[in-house]
Amino acid sequence: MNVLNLFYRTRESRRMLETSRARLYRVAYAWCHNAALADDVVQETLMKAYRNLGQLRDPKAGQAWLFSILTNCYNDHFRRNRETEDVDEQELIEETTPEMETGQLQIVDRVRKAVATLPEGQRQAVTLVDLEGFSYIEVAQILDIPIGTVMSRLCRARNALRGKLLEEFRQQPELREAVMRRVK
Amino acid sequence: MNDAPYISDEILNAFVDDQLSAEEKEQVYAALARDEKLKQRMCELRSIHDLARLAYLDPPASRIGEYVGPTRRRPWIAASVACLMLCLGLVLGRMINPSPHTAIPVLANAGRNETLIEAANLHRHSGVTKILFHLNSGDPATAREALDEVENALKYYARARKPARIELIANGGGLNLLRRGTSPFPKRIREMQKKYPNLRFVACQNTIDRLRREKGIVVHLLPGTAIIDSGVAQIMRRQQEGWAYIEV
Repeated sequence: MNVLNLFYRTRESRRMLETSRARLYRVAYAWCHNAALADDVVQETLMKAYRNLGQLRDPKAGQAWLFSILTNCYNDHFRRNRETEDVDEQELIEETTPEMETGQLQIVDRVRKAVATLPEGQRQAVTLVDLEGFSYIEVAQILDIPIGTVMSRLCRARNALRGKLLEEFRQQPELREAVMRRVK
Repeated sequence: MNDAPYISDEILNAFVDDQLSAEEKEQVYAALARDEKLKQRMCELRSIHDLARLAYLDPPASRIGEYVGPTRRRPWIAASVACLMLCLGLVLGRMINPSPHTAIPVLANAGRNETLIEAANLHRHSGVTKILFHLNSGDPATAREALDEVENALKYYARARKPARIELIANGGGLNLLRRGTSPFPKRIREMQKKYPNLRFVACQNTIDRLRREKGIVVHLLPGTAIIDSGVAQIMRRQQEGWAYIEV
């Protein structure tokens, strides 16, 4: 019975890995704004997760576990490249963010640009909560920081985004009016 | 003099993210009812929360083709493989001598109905309740869920004789629901349109353009569907106009 259970659990976990790629990629992209790097980090994450499936006893905790591996892979990458900088203080340089690719979606562009200028730690906290809907406790475990830090980073990140975005939108009357193109 | 508890930004954020206990929520609701400024700040935080999510709904696909050639082999991958081997060693070590497992607690999400009631409460002051449903998934089960929720809300407000305006905005895969030929429920949509004049189905022009550009599909919408320049922009505008936003 136990052996059967084990097989079932492994199959479930593998399915979880297969279906999580898009979510991991979305968060990795939000962190680094670089499609190729995000893809590498996700691939690395999935490989690690696959090898370490045995560590996962409770499939319900799988998502938080998977995202904590993503955090490690992502940090590993940057640690190797910039050994002396604190990951919490890093800001992305704008040239590395390919927002130009989606030029037609002005708002999406602006939001991504604003998110890109947040310090790394804040960007990670806010994207995990907003994109993936993780609870604060889960984010604390994923990023391996105290829950109070999650709350303060989130608070600072949202305040910064509010300052950047809402003011901008408020000044643009065309964004306030509904633009009805045609009704069939 | 003022015995109302102070609501910090952290608490307000936790409220927006549904991380508070029922008791704490009650305190925030009470404070919101008293304090217009606080209410405005909460709405702004909620907008930021939604904007951030919307901005990454459709991240650009990575170009695997870029990897062809020697650049594919990045030094950090090699190092990561070494790391992997280390992890493997760890796993083996664990298997021999397993440590006690700690489960990650998962907070239960608030029920849908609670969100609807909350939406209604927030917009009560303006007289008309305005709710925006957002469908981004092409999955027929999710589409059915969306229609169910829209219909439930419409029924509720019709029964309660309260004025309400409801919009279902479809973009990305969600557009399938409003396309002739791909919509799993064209009849039901027609009937809902006839029955509820305060309901509007809205399709995103950007998605229509993208389908034409990327897949060569010319989109034909169901009758009575409105088209908006950009689904994301519309959601943003509606939120600024005080609409409650619910993602299905």
